[in-house]
Amino acid sequence: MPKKTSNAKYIVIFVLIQAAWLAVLGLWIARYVNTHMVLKDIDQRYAIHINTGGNVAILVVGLALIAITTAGMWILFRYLNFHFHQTKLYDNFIASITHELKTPLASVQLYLETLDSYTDISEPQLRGFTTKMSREVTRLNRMINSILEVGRFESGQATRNCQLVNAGKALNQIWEDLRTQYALENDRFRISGSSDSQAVLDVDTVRLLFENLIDNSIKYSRGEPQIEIKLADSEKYITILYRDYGHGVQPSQLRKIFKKFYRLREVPHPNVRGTGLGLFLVKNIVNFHGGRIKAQIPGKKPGLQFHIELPRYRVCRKHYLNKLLNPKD
Amino acid sequence: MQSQSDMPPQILLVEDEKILAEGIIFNLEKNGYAVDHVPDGQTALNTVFTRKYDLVLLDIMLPYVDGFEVARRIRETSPLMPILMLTARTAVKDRVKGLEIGADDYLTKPFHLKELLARIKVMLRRSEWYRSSEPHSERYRFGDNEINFSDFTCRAGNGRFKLTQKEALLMKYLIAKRGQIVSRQELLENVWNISAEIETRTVDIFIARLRKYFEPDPKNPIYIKSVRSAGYLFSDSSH
Repeated sequence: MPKKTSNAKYIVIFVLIQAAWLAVLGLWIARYVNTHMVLKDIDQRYAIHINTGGNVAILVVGLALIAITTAGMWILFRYLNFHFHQTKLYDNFIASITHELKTPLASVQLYLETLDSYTDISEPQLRGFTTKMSREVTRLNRMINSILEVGRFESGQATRNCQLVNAGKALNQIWEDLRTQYALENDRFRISGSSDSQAVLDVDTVRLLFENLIDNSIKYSRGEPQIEIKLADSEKYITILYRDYGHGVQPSQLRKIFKKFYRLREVPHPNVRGTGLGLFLVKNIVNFHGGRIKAQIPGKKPGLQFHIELPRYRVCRKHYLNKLLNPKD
Repeated sequence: MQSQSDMPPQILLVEDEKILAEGIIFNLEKNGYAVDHVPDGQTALNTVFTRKYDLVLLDIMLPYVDGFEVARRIRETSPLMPILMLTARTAVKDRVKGLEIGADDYLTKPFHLKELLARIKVMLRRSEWYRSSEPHSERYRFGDNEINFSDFTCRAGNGRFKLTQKEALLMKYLIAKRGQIVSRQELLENVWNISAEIETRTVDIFIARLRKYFEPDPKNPIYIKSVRSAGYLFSDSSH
């Protein structure tokens, strides 16, 4: 939920201050010009040869200083405005992360206290409760991992377990695991195509990438989510087309959605869960692997598509990929 | 716990987190309540007036329409509906906002099961008290004033206005105890339900507001009198 804080009053105060000091300067200049005219008039009338040349230089220098001060103020204003915006995003992030962490915790606590409160809970009910608790713990774990990963990417201190793998096999394994984790039936999670290329991947991080994409598809779906993944090899890259049939985004948002803390706000997006970190992390993970990611609006049907390219080993950017394999070199 | 007839109390649960909602439903049903569950704010608004609910258990972060807006819209039509807000937000301003909008109580996640059940029980009891307590008739007159306790509309002299839910509860409590001294603590416990987070000064503010509405001279009250270091005393000259 967006947090409604307004910086309007600070902006108005800033603009009024600027208007006030510019008005003062304007008055001074008017007075200067007026005095100058009077002196010129006296000079002409009485021919006493008052030297006003220096005053013109002072006026020019003064105007230049005003221009510099105004430019400086404008830069400060932009900087402050940026920080106001960041603080607002950060406040929203704190509210979201609180919700994201406390809700699964609340579920687990509720089920544990439920088990403790009644003696007549049947075996199937008990199994149902433990499955639900387990799902919530997985969710909590993913959220914590995402936050930690963002921190690692930002500090540049990521220690990765990159390995040379068969991309097709590794990716299919990740997708099958996630199919089970999110209980997605075959017709709601279609995987097609193949890749026989080798790639340098940190499999756990790539799993986190697709967890975030699937989680978004579920959050922003109309009813049951519908996800399609197409895998193929191009000349230099392993290409993954990830598409859902959810609410989608506006064309103007296609680049913004990868920004840190960016959230979709407008109707009809349900806009509830989430921290604004998911796609920021996705982009960082793809970039880390030397790949590229683009969000696209797929055809006429609603939804969102991600075009992901991961470099093929031995073909693409070999030096960087070797560095991933041997970080100490 | 049974409300009016033999029907179990009907609770509308508005919670988008499916797993949490299932856990709450299990427990409420186990404790004799009938529960309808809706997963978003819009459906909640479409559902809440379709049947008579005894209580709404409302999450704040909801899809489409948030919990604050749902509470506000419920209050517009149904001033008496008990609303218990349930949320992960812990900021004081969120709690204050919820209570100001008209939520009766507030529980933060993660919560204890026993506390949830206890609060629901207290809220239903209070709601039942409001319905059954004196004055039994919907309209109550004293002096030039008239209060309609079903929709909180009032007439004082020639002026017409509407009381808030808390003001109406407070007025009803004072009238029910007319002729008796009611302490601030008693009012906090019975009208506000929670005493810890609300200072006794809150009671004074509400009393001052009620005097402004109903007293010919609020500085020299004749209906709602102060009793030094004891509390307040409602006396009705027309009864």
